[in-house]
Amino acid sequence: MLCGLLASSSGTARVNGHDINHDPESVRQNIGYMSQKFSLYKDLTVSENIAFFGGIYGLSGDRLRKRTGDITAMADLTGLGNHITGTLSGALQQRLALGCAVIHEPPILFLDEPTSGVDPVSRRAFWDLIQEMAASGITVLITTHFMDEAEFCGRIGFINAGRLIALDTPTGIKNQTSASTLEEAFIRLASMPEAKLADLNPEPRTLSL
Amino acid sequence: MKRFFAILKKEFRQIRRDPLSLGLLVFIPAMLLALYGYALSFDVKHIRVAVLDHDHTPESRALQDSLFQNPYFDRVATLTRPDEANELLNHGKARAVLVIPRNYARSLTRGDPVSIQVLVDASDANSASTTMGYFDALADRLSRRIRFDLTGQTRPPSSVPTVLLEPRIWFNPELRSAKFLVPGLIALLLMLSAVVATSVSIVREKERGTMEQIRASPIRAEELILGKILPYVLIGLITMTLVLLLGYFLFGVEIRGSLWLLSLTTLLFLFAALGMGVLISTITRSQQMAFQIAVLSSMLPAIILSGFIFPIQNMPVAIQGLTYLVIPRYFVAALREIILKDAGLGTLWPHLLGMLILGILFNLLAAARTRKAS
Repeated sequence: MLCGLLASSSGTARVNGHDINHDPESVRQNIGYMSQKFSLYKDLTVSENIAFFGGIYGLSGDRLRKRTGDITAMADLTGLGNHITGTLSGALQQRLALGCAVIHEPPILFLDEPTSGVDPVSRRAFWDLIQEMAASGITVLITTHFMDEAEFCGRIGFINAGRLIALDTPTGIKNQTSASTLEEAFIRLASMPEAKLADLNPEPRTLSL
Repeated sequence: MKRFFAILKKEFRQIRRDPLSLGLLVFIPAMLLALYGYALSFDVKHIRVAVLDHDHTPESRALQDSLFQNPYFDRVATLTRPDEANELLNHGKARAVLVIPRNYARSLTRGDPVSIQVLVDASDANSASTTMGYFDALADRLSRRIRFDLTGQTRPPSSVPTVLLEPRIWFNPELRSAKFLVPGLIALLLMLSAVVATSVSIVREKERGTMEQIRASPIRAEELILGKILPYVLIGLITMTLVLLLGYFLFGVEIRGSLWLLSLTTLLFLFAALGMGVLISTITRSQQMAFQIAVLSSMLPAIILSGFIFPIQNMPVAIQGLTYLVIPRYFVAALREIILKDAGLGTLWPHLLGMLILGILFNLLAAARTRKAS
């Protein structure tokens, strides 16, 4: 919904100041999106994929060339430009997908369960990459089931059965529920009765990105 | 525009990287044309005929000779007893039996009318009526010649009607069904490949998640759809050329009309057919499903409701109404007009308009459904 793919049934949401219901096109110009399937064209080469995603974001000429170089370096794909994407390892494909998602240098990046199906080493390397991006000033929004990954984030929202049940820094949430890990905190929050939840998080949530 | 070209370029690259699918798209219609073109024929030739001659006169033999002189009839047996005729027909060894009565020659010389009996196996009604038509024509020709011979005059005697029907058959003088069928086949095959190819290629992107990725970008629905169908327009034109060449070399179907009109007609047709393909892709989620719906919704109406085989004016009114929604209906009619009759825009425009309207309809629906989140 926040990517401008779906309209909301009620309420409003703004991404970087653009209303998702009224101006989804500006929303899409301002975000990068990568889904868990890291959707690349496996029958195209690495550079063809980059050129394609650059193209649909309206990049061309010098800017496209510069970004292609940046992304190749960032995703460790130097020298692999002519390889068919489907023949690369999962981790490399994932990095390429991330690169394609940020080809237009969006201020906000959505990652939908980006690390499912990747080995622990690549997962860690991938997180380093995300941290780098966050440090460079990109807002990164990640959904994940892995609570150890959530620890890396600056702010976490717990969602249970379609409701936001907590929103705070990792330390804040752990203190709130006096749990030692986020996993424990989530289980406690999820089993909490309605009234007590409302007590902890009184006002309706407005999330601004 | 830049975004549109990105889609277009990517589409061509993918098609090039998958030569098998491209080959199937272009050559399967060509192959099917050859196959159907030979198999589907309403021309009846080499009808197996047995003869039961009760007369045994030079005149009765002359009748048989004139029958078997032409390639439509093959003699399979000469019978002596009536019950043999039954047996031959029952076993399908003969499609027709010619029975010449005992007093055939005598009646002729007297100038009396004489009846020749023809037994026809009508289990295949279509062939049977064609067979009977041939016999009719034969009898007519014979009786005129015999009258001439009898009177020995160069001028027809007064008993012969002075008004004679002399049909002139236009556009397809040999009445060959290939000429009639090939344009219909072209429409059927092009319809099939256009609708299937687009719908499957779009649903493939949905299945692989790349569609979601594209839709998270600022690209507009029209840019996306146009970029996806344009390559298939080109492929459709190539297929069309190939199929027309085959139609000419294999079946002697030459194009009498203008190639410009033919191209215009084909473009309008592809516009509508590809729009339908895109529409199907928006209501299906798997390639398999898209393939099945595309085949069923394009092939069945193209065979049954397009006028390809069954004339539309013979259909019940309600069904006739339904045919207005069938793209090949217009395409078949327009192709026949152009290929067989050299028709101009003056007669073609209703068909072209029909395809244009359906094309706009399908494409608008498809764009609306693409824009609305799936």
